[in-house]
Amino acid sequence: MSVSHADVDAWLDGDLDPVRAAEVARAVDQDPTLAAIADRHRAIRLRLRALPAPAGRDLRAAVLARIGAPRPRVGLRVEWLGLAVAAGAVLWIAWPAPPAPSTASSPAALRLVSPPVAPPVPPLPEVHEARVPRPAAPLASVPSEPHATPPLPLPVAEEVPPADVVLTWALPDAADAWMAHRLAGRAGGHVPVPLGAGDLDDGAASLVVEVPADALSDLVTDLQALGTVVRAGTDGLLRDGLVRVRIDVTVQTDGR
Amino acid sequence: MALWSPFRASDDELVRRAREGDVRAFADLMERHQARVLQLCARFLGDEGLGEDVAQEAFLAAWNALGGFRGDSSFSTWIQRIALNRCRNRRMADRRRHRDQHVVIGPSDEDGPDLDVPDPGVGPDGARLADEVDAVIERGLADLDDEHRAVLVLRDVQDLDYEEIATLLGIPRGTVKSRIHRARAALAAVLGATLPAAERAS
Repeated sequence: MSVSHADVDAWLDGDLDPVRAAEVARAVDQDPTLAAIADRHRAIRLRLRALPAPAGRDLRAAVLARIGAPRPRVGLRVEWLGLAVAAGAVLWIAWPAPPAPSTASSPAALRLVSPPVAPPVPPLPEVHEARVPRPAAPLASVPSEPHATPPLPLPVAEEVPPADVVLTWALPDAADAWMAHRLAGRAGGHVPVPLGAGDLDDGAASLVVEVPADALSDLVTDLQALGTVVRAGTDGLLRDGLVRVRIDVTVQTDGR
Repeated sequence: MALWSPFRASDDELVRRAREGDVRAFADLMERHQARVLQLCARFLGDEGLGEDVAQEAFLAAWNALGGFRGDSSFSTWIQRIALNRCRNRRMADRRRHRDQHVVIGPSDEDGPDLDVPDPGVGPDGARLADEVDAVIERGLADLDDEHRAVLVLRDVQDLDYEEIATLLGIPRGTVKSRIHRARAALAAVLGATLPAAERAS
């Protein structure tokens, strides 16, 4: 039975069953190349193990002090949330009604003065980095009906840069993808497009969360605890203070 | 003075209490695991101070995510996974920052490809040589890509077995095996003739 160079490392690490370990041991005895690899890699192992442990102070006081404080909402996240909400305001105005594509060019005003009575949720853009269009007409020209609810404080929409709102990170495995799913639920959102086992087998999945805007920052914090993102884009503010966030999850089934 | 107790709560018990908001239980978990987490971060990032920062972030993140911890893996595996993810994110951010700033790395920069391998024949005493080899090993480790550095740190520093590493990284066991081999081979190439000399010195 042939012995690969990687087998030699597995043998050094005690990862082989006794029969295979004996085979590799014999091969190392007889083959100078394998013996040299074993010697070098054994020495590497020893040196790595002998590296001095970091002195490292006790982290408890620092961590516990921060646990007692309110969760930080630091720069990037606040900025991102602000962008998400502002982009949402623009998107809400400018998003075309799905059943009739010809309304895409309708004035934004029409969308505002006929507030949605459970409108159909527009489909998610195919691309991950959906560009957020500016409203075609100046916001100041939006007419209002006599009895209509005052619109959102729209001037904020003018501050939206024409850039995409994208947060990137990646989740390393299926377990974490499911964790993200659960966290989204815990943050008070619901998940219109749940993750499924089939999605995960394909190596990627999408999680679409509608979450209260004020819970978004905490959700992101919790997701970041899981690590590794690919990207997450927001579809902006929907209604009743909900923000829709799309999180694309890459599931590693092998090395990257 | 801490009282000795024959009843040492298990990690599972501490996790359960911490999930209910018991900060003291979480502190106990930290006491048990912080040395390993610190070591993992410091070795992965190649910087003890940075390792401390990231380890701290990892524990904070764990506290925030405890509600979602299902116990499918041990707390030890879970916290190390969080720490490793944080380390990767930090490295990714650093790389992005460096790229954005267009930093030109000269040949003498320590991030450069040329490692200054000490010459074992130039007469430093044994201890000095061993220190220098440690430094070369650490720099060689830092020059590996994240995937290979992760498996090597988890195996040879954290002493996890292949199965544990596969679980922690979410990769097949065979991938762990091949990455460990490639990572050691890369380090051996960097160390060259220095390694046997250092072994004799130590």
